Amino acid sequence: MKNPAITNLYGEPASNIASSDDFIAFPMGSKYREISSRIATDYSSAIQLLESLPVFLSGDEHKERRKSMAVVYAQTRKLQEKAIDQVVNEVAQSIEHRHGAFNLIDELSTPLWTALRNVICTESREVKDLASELPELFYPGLSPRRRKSLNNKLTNILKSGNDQLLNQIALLTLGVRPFSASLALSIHKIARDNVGKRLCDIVFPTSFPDSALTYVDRISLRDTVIDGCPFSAGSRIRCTTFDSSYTDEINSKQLYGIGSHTCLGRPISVYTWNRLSNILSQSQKTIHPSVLSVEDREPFTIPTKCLVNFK
Amino acid sequence: MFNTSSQIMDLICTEVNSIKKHESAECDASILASLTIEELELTSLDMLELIMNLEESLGIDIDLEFSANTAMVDVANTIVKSLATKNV
Repeated sequence: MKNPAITNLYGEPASNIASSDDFIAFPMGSKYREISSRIATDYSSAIQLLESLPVFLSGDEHKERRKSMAVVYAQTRKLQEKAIDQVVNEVAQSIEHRHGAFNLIDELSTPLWTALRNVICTESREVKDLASELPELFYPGLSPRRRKSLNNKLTNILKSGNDQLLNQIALLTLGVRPFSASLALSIHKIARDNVGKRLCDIVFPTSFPDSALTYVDRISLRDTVIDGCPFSAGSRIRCTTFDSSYTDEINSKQLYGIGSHTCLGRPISVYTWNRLSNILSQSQKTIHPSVLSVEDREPFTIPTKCLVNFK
Repeated sequence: MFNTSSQIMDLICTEVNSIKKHESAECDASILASLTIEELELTSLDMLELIMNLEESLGIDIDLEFSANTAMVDVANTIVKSLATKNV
Protein backbone atom coordinates (compact mmCIF):
# COMPACT_ATOMS: atom_id res chain seq x y z
CA MET A 1 0.00 0.00 0.00
CA LYS A 2 1.59 3.28 -1.05
CA ASN A 3 1.38 5.51 2.00
CA PRO A 4 3.28 8.75 2.27
CA ALA A 5 6.51 7.95 4.12
CA ILE A 6 6.82 9.10 7.71
CA THR A 7 10.28 9.84 9.05
CA ASN A 8 10.80 9.22 12.75
CA LEU A 9 13.05 11.64 14.59
CA TYR A 10 14.28 11.54 18.18
CA GLY A 11 16.02 13.85 20.60
CA GLU A 12 16.94 17.43 19.90
CA PRO A 13 16.14 17.42 16.16
CA ALA A 14 12.64 16.16 17.01
CA SER A 15 12.14 18.87 19.64
CA ASN A 16 13.44 21.55 17.31
CA ILE A 17 11.11 20.56 14.50
CA ALA A 18 8.10 20.20 16.78
CA SER A 19 8.50 23.82 17.85
CA SER A 20 9.70 25.26 14.52
CA ASP A 21 7.64 27.65 12.41
CA ASP A 22 9.06 25.95 9.31
CA PHE A 23 6.84 22.96 10.05
CA ILE A 24 3.08 22.82 10.50
CA ALA A 25 0.87 20.43 12.42
CA PHE A 26 -0.47 17.42 10.55
CA PRO A 27 -3.77 18.65 9.01
CA MET A 28 -6.04 15.73 9.84
CA GLY A 29 -9.14 17.56 8.60
CA SER A 30 -7.63 17.85 5.11
CA LYS A 31 -6.99 14.12 5.05
CA TYR A 32 -10.65 13.48 5.82
CA ARG A 33 -11.64 15.85 3.01
CA GLU A 34 -9.46 13.82 0.65
CA ILE A 35 -10.95 10.53 1.84
CA SER A 36 -14.48 11.90 1.77
CA SER A 37 -14.06 12.99 -1.82
CA ARG A 38 -12.51 9.71 -2.95
CA ILE A 39 -15.10 7.40 -1.43
CA ALA A 40 -18.02 9.82 -1.79
CA THR A 41 -18.88 9.62 1.88
CA ASP A 42 -20.02 12.46 4.08
CA TYR A 43 -17.53 13.09 6.87
CA SER A 44 -18.47 16.75 7.28
CA SER A 45 -19.06 16.66 11.04
CA ALA A 46 -15.85 14.73 11.63
CA ILE A 47 -14.05 17.33 9.52
CA GLN A 48 -15.72 20.15 11.46
CA LEU A 49 -14.44 18.64 14.70
CA LEU A 50 -10.95 17.83 13.41
CA GLU A 51 -10.60 21.36 12.06
CA SER A 52 -11.52 22.70 15.49
CA LEU A 53 -8.77 20.78 17.30
CA PRO A 54 -5.65 22.93 17.81
CA VAL A 55 -3.44 19.85 17.61
CA PHE A 56 -4.17 19.65 13.88
CA LEU A 57 -4.00 23.39 13.20
CA SER A 58 -1.24 25.92 12.67
CA GLY A 59 -0.76 29.69 12.62
CA ASP A 60 -3.61 32.08 13.44
CA GLU A 61 -6.24 29.38 13.15
CA HIS A 62 -4.43 27.43 15.83
CA LYS A 63 -4.16 30.45 18.11
CA GLU A 64 -7.84 31.32 17.79
CA ARG A 65 -9.12 27.81 18.42
CA ARG A 66 -6.77 27.31 21.32
CA LYS A 67 -7.87 30.56 22.92
CA SER A 68 -11.52 29.71 22.50
CA MET A 69 -11.04 26.29 24.09
CA ALA A 70 -8.85 27.71 26.85
CA VAL A 71 -11.73 29.97 27.93
CA VAL A 72 -14.08 27.00 28.24
CA TYR A 73 -11.43 25.00 30.08
CA ALA A 74 -10.68 27.82 32.51
CA GLN A 75 -14.33 28.39 33.40
CA THR A 76 -14.48 25.22 35.49
CA ARG A 77 -10.91 25.03 36.69
CA LYS A 78 -11.69 25.14 40.44
CA LEU A 79 -14.53 22.66 40.04
CA GLN A 80 -12.19 20.32 38.16
CA GLU A 81 -9.75 20.33 41.07
CA LYS A 82 -12.55 19.73 43.56
CA ALA A 83 -13.83 16.79 41.52
CA ILE A 84 -10.33 15.33 41.28
CA ASP A 85 -9.78 15.75 45.04
CA GLN A 86 -12.92 13.78 45.78
CA VAL A 87 -12.10 10.87 43.48
CA VAL A 88 -8.44 10.73 44.56
CA ASN A 89 -9.60 10.43 48.18
CA GLU A 90 -12.03 7.65 47.25
CA VAL A 91 -9.34 5.81 45.29
CA ALA A 92 -6.90 6.08 48.20
CA GLN A 93 -9.49 4.64 50.58
CA SER A 94 -10.23 1.84 48.18
CA ILE A 95 -6.52 0.99 47.99
CA GLU A 96 -6.21 1.01 51.78
CA HIS A 97 -8.93 -1.64 52.04
CA ARG A 98 -7.60 -3.72 49.16
CA HIS A 99 -5.56 -6.87 49.52
CA GLY A 100 -5.23 -8.10 45.96
CA ALA A 101 -5.87 -6.99 42.41
CA PHE A 102 -6.61 -3.38 41.60
CA ASN A 103 -7.80 -2.45 38.13
CA LEU A 104 -6.03 0.77 37.15
CA ILE A 105 -8.47 1.44 34.30
CA ASP A 106 -11.80 0.72 35.98
CA GLU A 107 -10.88 1.83 39.49
CA LEU A 108 -8.50 4.72 38.89
CA SER A 109 -8.29 6.37 35.50
CA THR A 110 -11.93 5.98 34.43
CA PRO A 111 -13.43 7.42 37.65
CA LEU A 112 -10.96 10.32 37.53
CA TRP A 113 -11.69 11.06 33.89
CA THR A 114 -15.45 10.71 34.43
CA ALA A 115 -15.34 13.24 37.28
CA LEU A 116 -13.32 15.62 35.15
CA ARG A 117 -15.46 15.34 32.02
CA ASN A 118 -18.64 15.84 34.03
CA VAL A 119 -17.31 19.20 35.19
CA ILE A 120 -15.93 20.32 31.82
CA CYS A 121 -18.95 19.25 29.80
CA THR A 122 -22.47 20.13 30.89
CA GLU A 123 -24.09 18.16 28.08
CA SER A 124 -25.81 14.76 28.25
CA ARG A 125 -24.03 11.51 28.94
CA GLU A 126 -24.54 10.60 25.28
CA VAL A 127 -22.38 13.58 24.26
CA LYS A 128 -19.68 12.72 26.79
CA ASP A 129 -19.62 9.05 25.81
CA LEU A 130 -19.32 9.98 22.15
CA ALA A 131 -16.44 12.35 22.96
CA SER A 132 -14.61 9.38 24.50
CA GLU A 133 -14.95 7.49 21.20
CA LEU A 134 -14.00 10.38 18.93
CA PRO A 135 -10.21 9.96 19.28
CA GLU A 136 -10.76 6.86 17.14
CA LEU A 137 -11.06 9.29 14.23
CA PHE A 138 -7.31 9.95 14.59
CA TYR A 139 -6.51 6.27 14.00
CA PRO A 140 -5.40 5.88 10.36
CA GLY A 141 -6.52 2.26 10.19
CA LEU A 142 -10.03 2.94 11.44
CA SER A 143 -12.76 1.13 9.55
CA PRO A 144 -14.50 3.46 7.04
CA ARG A 145 -17.87 2.25 8.34
CA ARG A 146 -16.91 3.15 11.89
CA ARG A 147 -15.73 6.59 10.73
CA LYS A 148 -19.11 7.10 9.13
CA SER A 149 -20.93 5.96 12.25
CA LEU A 150 -18.94 8.40 14.43
CA ASN A 151 -19.54 11.16 11.89
CA ASN A 152 -23.29 10.52 11.92
CA LYS A 153 -23.48 10.49 15.72
CA LEU A 154 -21.54 13.74 15.81
CA THR A 155 -23.84 15.29 13.22
CA ASN A 156 -26.88 14.55 15.38
CA ILE A 157 -25.26 16.13 18.41
CA LEU A 158 -23.77 19.19 16.73
CA LYS A 159 -26.97 20.19 14.96
CA SER A 160 -28.59 20.95 18.29
CA GLY A 161 -25.62 22.79 19.77
CA ASN A 162 -23.45 25.89 19.50
CA ASP A 163 -19.75 26.82 19.57
CA GLN A 164 -19.67 26.16 23.29
CA LEU A 165 -20.73 22.57 22.64
CA LEU A 166 -18.02 22.12 19.99
CA ASN A 167 -15.43 23.51 22.42
CA GLN A 168 -16.53 21.13 25.16
CA ILE A 169 -16.47 18.13 22.81
CA ALA A 170 -13.06 19.23 21.52
CA LEU A 171 -11.65 19.44 25.06
CA LEU A 172 -12.93 15.97 25.93
CA THR A 173 -11.78 14.47 22.64
CA LEU A 174 -8.25 15.73 23.13
CA GLY A 175 -8.16 14.97 26.84
CA VAL A 176 -9.59 11.52 27.31
CA ARG A 177 -6.80 9.29 26.07
CA PRO A 178 -3.72 11.27 27.09
CA PHE A 179 -5.19 11.70 30.57
CA SER A 180 -6.74 8.36 31.40
CA ALA A 181 -4.44 6.04 29.48
CA SER A 182 -1.29 7.83 30.66
CA LEU A 183 -2.48 7.68 34.24
CA ALA A 184 -3.04 3.92 34.20
CA LEU A 185 0.23 3.28 32.34
CA SER A 186 2.13 5.49 34.78
CA ILE A 187 0.95 3.76 37.95
CA HIS A 188 1.69 0.41 36.34
CA LYS A 189 5.20 1.62 35.51
CA ILE A 190 5.68 2.68 39.11
CA ALA A 191 4.62 -0.83 40.16
CA ARG A 192 7.14 -2.39 37.73
CA ASP A 193 9.92 -0.09 38.89
CA ASN A 194 9.20 -0.68 42.58
CA VAL A 195 8.08 -4.30 42.87
CA GLY A 196 6.88 -5.11 46.37
CA LYS A 197 7.83 -1.76 47.85
CA ARG A 198 5.64 0.09 50.29
CA LEU A 199 4.03 3.09 48.62
CA CYS A 200 5.43 5.30 51.38
CA ASP A 201 8.98 4.19 50.48
CA ILE A 202 8.65 5.02 46.80
CA VAL A 203 10.03 8.26 45.45
CA PHE A 204 7.20 9.24 43.14
CA PRO A 205 8.26 11.05 39.98
CA THR A 206 7.14 14.65 39.73
CA SER A 207 5.11 13.92 36.61
CA PHE A 208 3.58 10.97 34.77
CA PRO A 209 6.41 8.46 34.21
CA ASP A 210 4.67 6.96 31.17
CA SER A 211 2.56 8.39 28.41
CA ALA A 212 -0.10 7.18 25.99
CA LEU A 213 1.02 9.77 23.46
CA THR A 214 4.70 9.84 22.64
CA TYR A 215 5.03 11.83 19.43
CA VAL A 216 3.68 14.64 17.32
CA ASP A 217 3.59 14.77 13.52
CA ARG A 218 4.78 17.78 11.59
CA ILE A 219 4.74 18.66 7.89
CA SER A 220 7.65 20.48 6.30
CA LEU A 221 6.61 23.76 4.66
CA ARG A 222 9.62 23.89 2.37
CA ASP A 223 12.60 21.85 1.20
CA THR A 224 14.98 21.55 4.12
CA VAL A 225 17.86 19.57 5.59
CA ILE A 226 17.70 18.10 9.10
CA ASP A 227 20.74 16.43 10.61
CA GLY A 228 22.16 16.07 7.11
CA CYS A 229 19.00 14.45 5.71
CA PRO A 230 17.14 16.32 2.99
CA PHE A 231 13.37 16.64 3.28
CA SER A 232 11.20 18.02 0.52
CA ALA A 233 8.28 20.34 1.18
CA GLY A 234 5.30 18.33 2.40
CA SER A 235 7.39 15.64 4.12
CA ARG A 236 5.74 14.16 7.20
CA ILE A 237 8.02 13.92 10.20
CA ARG A 238 7.18 12.11 13.43
CA CYS A 239 8.84 13.92 16.32
CA THR A 240 9.23 11.69 19.35
CA THR A 241 8.52 13.74 22.44
CA PHE A 242 8.54 11.00 25.08
CA ASP A 243 10.77 7.94 25.02
CA SER A 244 12.44 5.51 27.39
CA SER A 245 15.81 6.59 25.95
CA TYR A 246 15.24 10.17 27.13
CA THR A 247 16.10 11.41 30.61
CA ASP A 248 13.24 11.77 33.11
CA GLU A 249 13.80 15.50 32.93
CA ILE A 250 13.29 15.64 29.15
CA ASN A 251 10.28 13.33 29.28
CA SER A 252 8.74 15.44 32.01
CA LYS A 253 9.41 18.63 30.06
CA GLN A 254 7.93 17.27 26.82
CA LEU A 255 5.11 15.21 28.31
CA TYR A 256 2.51 17.81 27.39
CA GLY A 257 3.92 18.66 23.99
CA ILE A 258 6.20 21.40 22.83
CA GLY A 259 5.92 25.14 22.24
CA SER A 260 2.62 26.64 21.14
CA HIS A 261 1.06 23.17 20.97
CA THR A 262 1.49 22.47 24.69
CA CYS A 263 -1.54 20.57 26.00
CA LEU A 264 -4.34 22.81 27.27
CA GLY A 265 -5.15 20.28 29.97
CA ARG A 266 -1.72 20.43 31.50
CA PRO A 267 -2.72 22.27 34.71
CA ILE A 268 -5.40 19.77 35.75
CA SER A 269 -3.22 16.88 34.70
CA VAL A 270 -0.31 18.15 36.82
CA TYR A 271 -2.74 18.78 39.69
CA THR A 272 -4.11 15.23 39.42
CA TRP A 273 -0.67 13.66 39.41
CA ASN A 274 0.46 15.73 42.40
CA ARG A 275 -2.66 14.91 44.42
CA LEU A 276 -2.52 11.23 43.53
CA SER A 277 1.19 10.72 44.15
CA ASN A 278 0.97 12.70 47.38
CA ILE A 279 -1.83 10.62 48.83
CA LEU A 280 -0.38 7.30 47.64
CA SER A 281 3.01 8.12 49.15
CA GLN A 282 1.39 8.14 52.59
CA SER A 283 0.23 4.53 52.36
CA GLN A 284 1.89 1.52 53.99
CA LYS A 285 0.54 -0.78 51.26
CA THR A 286 2.97 -2.56 48.96
CA ILE A 287 2.52 -2.46 45.20
CA HIS A 288 3.08 -5.34 42.76
CA PRO A 289 2.68 -5.23 38.98
CA SER A 290 0.21 -7.60 37.40
CA VAL A 291 -1.31 -7.89 33.92
CA LEU A 292 -0.63 -5.17 31.37
CA SER A 293 -1.87 -5.41 27.81
CA VAL A 294 -1.88 -2.51 25.43
CA GLU A 295 -3.32 -1.78 22.03
CA ASP A 296 -1.75 0.49 19.47
CA ARG A 297 -4.47 2.88 18.37
CA GLU A 298 -2.22 5.37 16.65
CA PRO A 299 -1.34 7.93 17.84
CA PHE A 300 -2.16 6.48 21.26
CA THR A 301 -1.01 3.45 23.20
CA ILE A 302 -4.13 2.32 25.01
CA PRO A 303 -4.01 -0.10 27.96
CA THR A 304 -6.76 -2.69 27.56
CA LYS A 305 -5.88 -4.52 30.79
CA CYS A 306 -3.84 -2.79 33.45
CA LEU A 307 -3.72 -4.39 36.89
CA VAL A 308 -1.56 -4.12 39.97
CA ASN A 309 -1.84 -5.84 43.33
CA PHE A 310 -1.84 -4.01 46.65
CA LYS A 311 -0.89 -5.97 49.77
CA MET B 1 -23.81 -15.39 2.62
CA PHE B 2 -20.04 -15.08 2.56
CA ASN B 3 -18.36 -17.51 4.89
CA THR B 4 -15.30 -18.94 3.26
CA SER B 5 -12.03 -17.45 2.22
CA SER B 6 -12.71 -18.29 -1.44
CA GLN B 7 -16.09 -16.51 -1.36
CA ILE B 8 -14.45 -13.46 0.17
CA MET B 9 -11.68 -13.67 -2.43
CA ASP B 10 -14.28 -13.57 -5.20
CA LEU B 11 -15.79 -10.48 -3.62
CA ILE B 12 -12.37 -8.85 -3.20
CA CYS B 13 -11.59 -9.66 -6.81
CA THR B 14 -14.74 -7.93 -8.04
CA GLU B 15 -13.98 -4.86 -5.95
CA VAL B 16 -10.29 -4.68 -6.91
CA ASN B 17 -11.14 -4.95 -10.60
CA SER B 18 -13.69 -2.19 -10.15
CA ILE B 19 -11.12 0.05 -8.42
CA LYS B 20 -8.50 -0.74 -11.07
CA LYS B 21 -11.00 -0.62 -13.93
CA HIS B 22 -8.79 1.78 -15.89
CA GLU B 23 -6.30 -1.06 -16.32
CA SER B 24 -6.74 -3.25 -19.36
CA ALA B 25 -6.22 -6.69 -17.79
CA GLU B 26 -8.56 -7.93 -15.07
CA CYS B 27 -7.30 -10.34 -12.43
CA ASP B 28 -9.15 -13.48 -11.49
CA ALA B 29 -9.39 -14.50 -7.87
CA SER B 30 -6.82 -17.29 -8.06
CA ILE B 31 -4.16 -14.90 -9.35
CA LEU B 32 -5.20 -12.06 -7.08
CA ALA B 33 -4.97 -14.24 -3.96
CA SER B 34 -1.20 -14.46 -4.04
CA LEU B 35 -0.57 -10.82 -4.93
CA THR B 36 0.27 -8.31 -2.24
CA ILE B 37 -1.24 -4.87 -1.82
CA GLU B 38 2.02 -3.39 -3.02
CA GLU B 39 2.19 -5.64 -6.08
CA LEU B 40 -1.34 -4.62 -7.00
CA GLU B 41 -0.23 -0.99 -6.61
CA LEU B 42 -3.17 -0.24 -4.38
CA THR B 43 -2.70 3.15 -2.72
CA SER B 44 -3.97 3.89 0.78
CA LEU B 45 -7.03 5.53 -0.78
CA ASP B 46 -7.59 2.49 -3.02
CA MET B 47 -7.48 0.30 0.07
CA LEU B 48 -9.89 2.60 1.86
CA GLU B 49 -12.33 2.30 -1.03
CA LEU B 50 -11.89 -1.47 -1.20
CA ILE B 51 -12.46 -1.93 2.52
CA MET B 52 -15.44 0.42 2.52
CA ASN B 53 -17.08 -1.56 -0.28
CA LEU B 54 -16.37 -4.84 1.52
CA GLU B 55 -17.84 -3.45 4.74
CA GLU B 56 -20.99 -2.50 2.87
CA SER B 57 -21.32 -5.91 1.27
CA LEU B 58 -20.59 -7.84 4.46
CA GLY B 59 -22.11 -5.59 7.11
CA ILE B 60 -19.05 -5.58 9.36
CA ASP B 61 -16.40 -3.07 10.45
CA ILE B 62 -12.96 -3.81 9.00
CA ASP B 63 -9.95 -1.87 10.24
CA LEU B 64 -7.35 -0.95 7.63
CA GLU B 65 -4.56 -2.76 9.37
CA PHE B 66 -2.87 -4.30 6.35
CA SER B 67 0.74 -3.65 5.50
CA ALA B 68 1.95 -3.23 1.92
CA ASN B 69 3.29 -6.79 1.82
CA THR B 70 0.00 -8.42 2.86
CA ALA B 71 -1.25 -10.86 0.23
CA MET B 72 -4.90 -10.55 -0.73
CA VAL B 73 -5.56 -14.07 0.52
CA ASP B 74 -4.50 -12.87 3.97
CA VAL B 75 -6.85 -9.91 3.67
CA ALA B 76 -9.60 -12.43 2.89
CA ASN B 77 -8.64 -14.64 5.85
CA THR B 78 -8.70 -11.67 8.22
CA ILE B 79 -12.18 -10.80 7.00
CA VAL B 80 -13.37 -14.39 7.41
CA LYS B 81 -12.20 -14.24 11.03
CA SER B 82 -14.06 -10.96 11.56
CA LEU B 83 -17.20 -12.52 10.10
CA ALA B 84 -16.84 -15.53 12.38
CA THR B 85 -16.53 -13.22 15.40
CA LYS B 86 -19.63 -11.33 14.30
CA ASN B 87 -21.60 -14.55 13.91
CA VAL B 88 -20.68 -15.91 17.36
